[in-house]
Amino acid sequence: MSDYLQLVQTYFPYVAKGASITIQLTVVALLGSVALGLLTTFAKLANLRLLRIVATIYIELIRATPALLQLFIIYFGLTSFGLRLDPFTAASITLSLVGGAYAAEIFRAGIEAVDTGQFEAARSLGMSTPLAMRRIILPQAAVIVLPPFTNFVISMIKDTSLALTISVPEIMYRSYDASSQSYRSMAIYSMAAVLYLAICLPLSGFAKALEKRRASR
Amino acid sequence: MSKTILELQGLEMAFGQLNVLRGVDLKVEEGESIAIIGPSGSGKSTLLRCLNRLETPTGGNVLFEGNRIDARTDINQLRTRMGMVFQQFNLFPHMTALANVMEAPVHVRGIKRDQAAAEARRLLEKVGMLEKAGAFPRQLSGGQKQRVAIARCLAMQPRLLLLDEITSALDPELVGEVLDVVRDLARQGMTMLLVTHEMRFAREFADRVVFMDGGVVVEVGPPEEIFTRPKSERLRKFLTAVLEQTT
Repeated sequence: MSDYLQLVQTYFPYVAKGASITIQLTVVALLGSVALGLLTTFAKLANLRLLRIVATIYIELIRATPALLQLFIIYFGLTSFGLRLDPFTAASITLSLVGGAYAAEIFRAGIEAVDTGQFEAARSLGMSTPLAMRRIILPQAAVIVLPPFTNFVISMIKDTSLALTISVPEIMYRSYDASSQSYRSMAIYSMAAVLYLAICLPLSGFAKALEKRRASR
Repeated sequence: MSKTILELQGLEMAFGQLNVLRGVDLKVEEGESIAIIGPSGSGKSTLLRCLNRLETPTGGNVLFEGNRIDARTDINQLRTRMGMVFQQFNLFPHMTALANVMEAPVHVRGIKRDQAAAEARRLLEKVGMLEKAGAFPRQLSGGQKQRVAIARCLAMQPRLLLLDEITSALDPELVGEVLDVVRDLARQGMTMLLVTHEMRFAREFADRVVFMDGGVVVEVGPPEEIFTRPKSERLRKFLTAVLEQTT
């Protein structure tokens, strides 16, 4: 037991430092995902056929290939074109691309879940389509989208662990590193689990509370 | 001397193979209240939706205030002059009653908030909803929602109101309060096209009644004539069927 405490003292601060990288990567990737997701959603809802096709191809390409492969293409593959990204940037770009495709589907479902009568009422009052979107549809879609989006945030946090493979020093990278130094895999990876739980559990509680609130309305 | 505000010439609307309107002709004078009756599927609601271009007609002409409405018409501008009230109210659920009424004046017209709020309060008072100004739609009954929806529509100072089965989604005991508001508007000279299943109200309220069936206007006339001396077999049949239902 005291041996275990010793281990925690030695390695936990090191692994825990990874949590800050994990969170930074999550935040950057989420911002990217939301921006790309919104763009893609509007492209899919656009009148212009070309935009709809581009958006569909993007979503299908991302969803039909593993995120790890996409990460390797961005980090290793692009070097063939002379583009060398640092690991954090490569991971941010990849997770934004992945997240954007999934976020687009969440946003589109949210917008389509708003009753069409809302759009007609807004238009019949003389609102332009963009104004009706901004003032009437999107605020309602945001409420609908919040629970699935919170779940999306949680899976994004977990997906940042892929960055281990290109040596971004986040939680997984550091625990892998620590366990190979200490040969105490179970203890070290338990610490990593505690860190992920500490980040994700409050969020999933938040998502549940939101869903409850919506159901009671 | 009354002035023609709206004229339909051979208006047609088809959804794919389905011809919903097959040449509707109608002239509406300023200040007139017109009730449109007819069996379901006769094209009544589609007719209203073609007027403010929620649907784009596939043929014929619509002249509003003397101008032909076509692809070059500024539709948003047109819609501010032609208000529409829906069967399902379609109030904005994330806004209070007051904010619902202020929304279009502030964001479409660019009217200052305090001025729009004062006007919105006046309109809510007119429909008997001032004490519920701060309530959200989910806190209101169907009849109250519909009265707010009418106020929201009036806030744009439309020249013509399109009322699409506005009492069909209401519990019977709530119909009266909404029709009272409509009756008031008619008295004040608002031009209205009302699609309705309330025959008694149509008879009492309308200056003229339009009977539609199969996508055309079958008969137009003053209510006494339409309801007591129907000329066509189709109208006779319809009235018999409707009267049987209500007795």
